[in-house]
Order: sequence, then C-alpha cells, then structure tokens
Amino acid sequence: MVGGAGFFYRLARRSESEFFLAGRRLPWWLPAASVFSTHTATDTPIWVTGEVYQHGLRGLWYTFFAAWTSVASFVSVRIYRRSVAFTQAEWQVVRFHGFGAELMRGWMAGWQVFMNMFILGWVGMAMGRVCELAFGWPVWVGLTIPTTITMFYTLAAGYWGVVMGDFLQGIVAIFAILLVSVVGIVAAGGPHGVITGVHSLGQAWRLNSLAFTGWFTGAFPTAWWITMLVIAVVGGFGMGTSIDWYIEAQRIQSAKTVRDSAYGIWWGGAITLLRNGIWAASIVAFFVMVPHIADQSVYELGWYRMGFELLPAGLVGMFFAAILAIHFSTVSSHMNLGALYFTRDLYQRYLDPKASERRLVWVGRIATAVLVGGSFFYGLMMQNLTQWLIFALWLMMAGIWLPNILQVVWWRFNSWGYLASWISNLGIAWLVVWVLPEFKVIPVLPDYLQFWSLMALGILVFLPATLLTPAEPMEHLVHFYLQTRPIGWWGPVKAEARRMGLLAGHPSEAAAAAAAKSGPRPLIRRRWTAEEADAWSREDWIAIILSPLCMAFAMVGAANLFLLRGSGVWQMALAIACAVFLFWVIDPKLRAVSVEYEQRQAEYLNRLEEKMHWRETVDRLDPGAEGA
Amino acid sequence: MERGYVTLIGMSIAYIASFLGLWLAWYGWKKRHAEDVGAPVNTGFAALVLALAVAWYVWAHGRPGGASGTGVHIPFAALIALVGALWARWGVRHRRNPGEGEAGP
Repeated sequence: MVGGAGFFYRLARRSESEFFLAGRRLPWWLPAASVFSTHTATDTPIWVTGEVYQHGLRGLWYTFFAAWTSVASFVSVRIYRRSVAFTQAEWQVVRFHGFGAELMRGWMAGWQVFMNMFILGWVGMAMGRVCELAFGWPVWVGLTIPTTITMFYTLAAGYWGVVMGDFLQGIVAIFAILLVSVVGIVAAGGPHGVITGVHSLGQAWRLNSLAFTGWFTGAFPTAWWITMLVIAVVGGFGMGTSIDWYIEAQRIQSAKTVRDSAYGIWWGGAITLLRNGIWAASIVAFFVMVPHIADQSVYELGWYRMGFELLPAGLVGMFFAAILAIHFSTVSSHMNLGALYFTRDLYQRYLDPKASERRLVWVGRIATAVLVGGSFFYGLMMQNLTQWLIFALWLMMAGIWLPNILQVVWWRFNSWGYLASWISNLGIAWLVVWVLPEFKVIPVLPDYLQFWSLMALGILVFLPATLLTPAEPMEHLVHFYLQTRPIGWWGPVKAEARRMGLLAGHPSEAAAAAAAKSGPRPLIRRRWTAEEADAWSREDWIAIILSPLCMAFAMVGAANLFLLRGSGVWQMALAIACAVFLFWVIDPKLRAVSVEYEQRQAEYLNRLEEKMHWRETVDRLDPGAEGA
Repeated sequence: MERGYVTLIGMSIAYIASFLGLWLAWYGWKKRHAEDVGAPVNTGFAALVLALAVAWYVWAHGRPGGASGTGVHIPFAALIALVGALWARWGVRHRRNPGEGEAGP
C-alpha cells in the first residue's frame, strides 16, 4: 500500500476535493468496500466475540445497529448526497442558516476531530492487545508501529489511498474471516459437532437468535430488542446513529452519483452484517471447545485465539497480514476523516478561507500527522478509560438520536434547538445515569430505558429551544428543499416553493394529469421522469420496508447456514429474494434522480464554495429552475 | 469506578473539543460581521488594568501583616480587573475606529 500510494499521490495532491473525496467520482463498489473495511477494525472481532460468547446467536442483534444503512441508503443518504456538503459539519450550514448554523458547524467539527483521534487511539489499543497476544510484544509497539505505517500512504495519497487500500484490504479480510471461521467450526467437530456440543452442554438456546428472556426481564428482554430496532431502522430516516453516520458521510460524497452513494452504503452495511453472521457461527464453535470462560477479557479474544492456535504455521502469517489489513483500513479512514474536519471545517472556514488548494492539501497532511500523534498519546493514556468512553459516547448518541433525525425530516427544527440538544445532553445523561439513581429518585435503569429517558428529557430541552427561537429563513429552507428533497414534514416549505413557481403542483394533481395522458399508474412504476422521481413514492417505501428485512435475514441466515442448519437455507433465500425485488423496484427511480441531479451538481458546488469563502449573503433562488 | 463519573469524565473530554470548535466558529463569525459587534476589544487598556490589579495584590500581600488582609485584597483586585475588562469590552465601543471619520479620497 505504501508503494501504491505513490501512484495515487499525483491524484490526491490536485485539490482538497481529490485529497478528501477522491474528486467525487467513485463507482458504488469502492465506497461499499470502504464502508465494510472501515467497520472491520481490530476491535470488531473482540466486540462481536464478546457478545456472541455471552448471548449465543441472539448476541448478533447487538451488532444489528449497522442496519441503519438499510433505510438510510434509500432516504438520508440520498438527501445528504444532494447537499454536496463535504462533511456533516458543513451540512449544518446547508440545512440551517446564519450564526446558529455556524455555531453548529464549529461544534460538530470540534466533536468529530476528537472522535477520530479517540477512535484511532481506541483501535490502536486493540491492535496493541492483539500483538501482545500473538507475539508477546509490549502494547505500545502494536499501538504505534502499524498506525505509523498506515500514516505514510494516507499522508501521500489522501482518500484515494484510503479507498483503494480499503478495497484490497477488504478482500484480504473477508478471506481471513471465512478461513478462520471454517477452521474453527471444523476443529469443534464440524457443524454437526457444534450443534450437538451446544445441546450436550444444555445451552440449546444459544442457537436461537430470538431467545428472549421476557418482555422486560433477564439478559435479553424483548424491550431491548425493539429499542435496538427502532434506533437502527428509524434512525436511518435521518442521521440517528451519528457515531457511524459521520464516517459514512465521506463515502457518500465520494460516490459519483446519488445512486452510487445509495448502493455503496447499502452493500457496505449488508456485507458487514453478513460478516457478523459468519463470525457468530465460529464463535459458537469456540464456545463448544472452551465453554466455561467467565472473564470477559479472555473470552472476547476467542476468534483471534482460533486464528493463532488452529491455523497451520504458514497460514498464521497470512492471518496476521489480514489483521494488519483490518487495522490499516480502519485507521487510514479515521486519519483522513479527522484531517478533513480540521482542514475544511475549522482551518479553511474560520482561519484561512482564502487558502490555496495546495496549502489545504498540506494542512490536511499536517493535520493527519498531528491526529496520529494525538491518538498515540490518547491510546496510552486511556487504556483504562476506553470502556468508560465507549459507554459515555453511547449515551451521548442516545440523547441526540431524535434531533439527528429531526434535522432531516422536520422543517421547523432549527439550529438553536439542535445546539441546545447537543449541549444539554451531558447534563441529562449524567442525571439519568448517575445522579437520580444515586439519590434514589429513580432506580438504576437498564440501558434500553436509559435510551428512552434520555430521549424524553432531551425533548424537554430542544423542543422549547426550537419553538422559542425563529424558524430558519423561508428562502433558505426553500433552497434547501429544492436541492435535497428531504422526506418528512416539509409542507409549508413545499407550499412556499410552489407559490414562488419553483416547484410543480401537488403530486396528486400531477398524478391525475399523468393518468389522463397515459392511463392509471402501475402498482410498481419503472419509468420515471426526473421530476416524478424527486418525489417520495410507494416504491421508496417498498425499499424502506424490505431492506431491513433483507439485512436481518442475511445476518441470521449466514450464521445458520455456516452451521448447516435448515433454517439458514430459507433465511438466506428470503434475504436474496428481498434484495432482488427491492433493487428491481428502486433502481429505475434512483437512476432518474441521479441523471437529473448530476446536471445541477456543478451549480450547487459553486454555491457551496461561495459559502466557504464567506461570499454568500443571501440564498439566491432562480425561478423556473424546477420547471413549474 | 461509578458509571456516573465515567459518563461525566468521558463526555466532558468530548465536549471540550466541541466547545473549542464552537469558540472558533464564534470567532470566525464575529470577525466577518464586525459591524454587528462594535469596535474591537482594547487589549492594551485591558492589559494595563490587569497589571494594576496584580500590582495591587502583590503590594498588599507583601506588606508586613499584609497576609492577614489578603482576604480583602483579593476581591478588591478582582474588582479592578473586572472593571477594566468591562471597560475594555464595552467602553471602547464609543471610541472612533481607526480611519473612521477621516476625509475620503
């Protein structure tokens, strides 16, 4: 990869857009590979092993948060891609207006720079632990050396190096995951031996992915499962799971069309969940071989142990190469992403708006190096704090889950409400998790109830803040609506756009006119004009409903299929059927949206650059642009 | 450690970075919308008042028996510094900006 970086160096150095978004011209399979590779980090097998060893196949649902991609691909990804914002921080000034939007941008940029440094340190520590397990090296060696190697090609080739590396590293990682999983299952006596072993241990429930322990009681209550589904699936309508979303934002914008960005995120999410299913089967096999480990820090290294202990000597080297690939792909993404937020949203926006493209690329490189240095310091300092931070950040995400969705789906939600929700969440989370239980006002809540409590208390803060402050200027909202075509409650904005002659009449009128011309609308429409495709229709809803079902069947089906269980066959068959049908339904519409949108993209990018250089004073609307 | 401390420490670290970003956004906005804010802060005057406050505190603290009176002098020095800061922040608004009112070409 370091050698390959030289090849992409020439591309990356051209401009900020090339260095951070590969010039926005990637076909869908490259962002898809990057999504998968970035979400396959050295700590991922540790996490998945921990959940499945503890919970059996039902532990797979702890990883189902990745299914936010199932809905987001056809809703919020499409909207965000049309915003052309480089980052989620930049999205704030596209969605909101004025001083409040600017504060949100600064806030989010600061948060994301920290997040990337934190994740680099966290993932680096996981690599340190793996190297300690495999070779007995001190943790700092595993933390610093592989990350430093990655830094060289990320510095030289920017996002081009990241995404091309991710593609190659993803292939190596999939091969290693398949190999170790098969070897592990065979070592436990083959699929039949694993199933017999689980039964003989009196743990048959481990093979049931829906082995609930009651509605509200036990280790796996139904209420938790429903909460998780809501967080993942409903969150996809907006940017609910922002802890994942901000990473994918870069992949979305680097895709060459709206359709490519949707497919890139969908396939990345789907392959990630398939991978979890394959892992789960092998971890059940590990449980059969070593069933009584009580210490979490020991059993969560189970998958790595299978690789190092069961593979023949020659293949252990390949396995370690795959672990390096897994590590490289994740840390390179976070290096480049953290540098993007610093360069674009802090340096260029607030410190030097007139910086040349060459200077921005160099600032990006320096920021990458500084982030890496910070992550070493962070990783070594925070060895014991990591668990706390993961917990705290999860709570953080719970409190702003709803505002993250509302910013996409509700026209009246404004920057002050959004900022209030972010700032207040620290106090609210502390109150719900510690202060109130400590003073016996409320009992210690299970995590699903903490989520709902944080959400309810957050509403008490951000809703008044939103309604007591003015809405964003209507002209700005109309502009945002025409550019991104968001789903949800945008009635007054649509009405204003029609009044200004920028949007065609009501969809029902248009449908009646079309029916009069060409007969009644077919149940599934496969021919679209650009204008028709911009509106949300039943085809979108079919995709929205089928997509999470497809991913759930694929994840559970992969686990069962690897254990050669009959249920795995019909689950995978259903997953494939859902996928084929939903793409048959949605693809013509996405093509129509993409063709129309590409014609306007240059204009939107110009406007974004004007904003970036503080040249924009008011939104300029061009009557007739939408062909009233 | 208690989950409460965990939440507070973990999230506070993240929030420090966010507030730094927020401050930078504020700075960037004010810099480009100076007409809404008034004249820039008179940092020289603020530094002079702050130096006077520190000098007062050192003089009062260094006198024979001065230590016993420290409890009085600290708030007094702080008051001087506060008045100076307020003057520097708002008082200079009414001063003429460089170039303001000069004859045009």
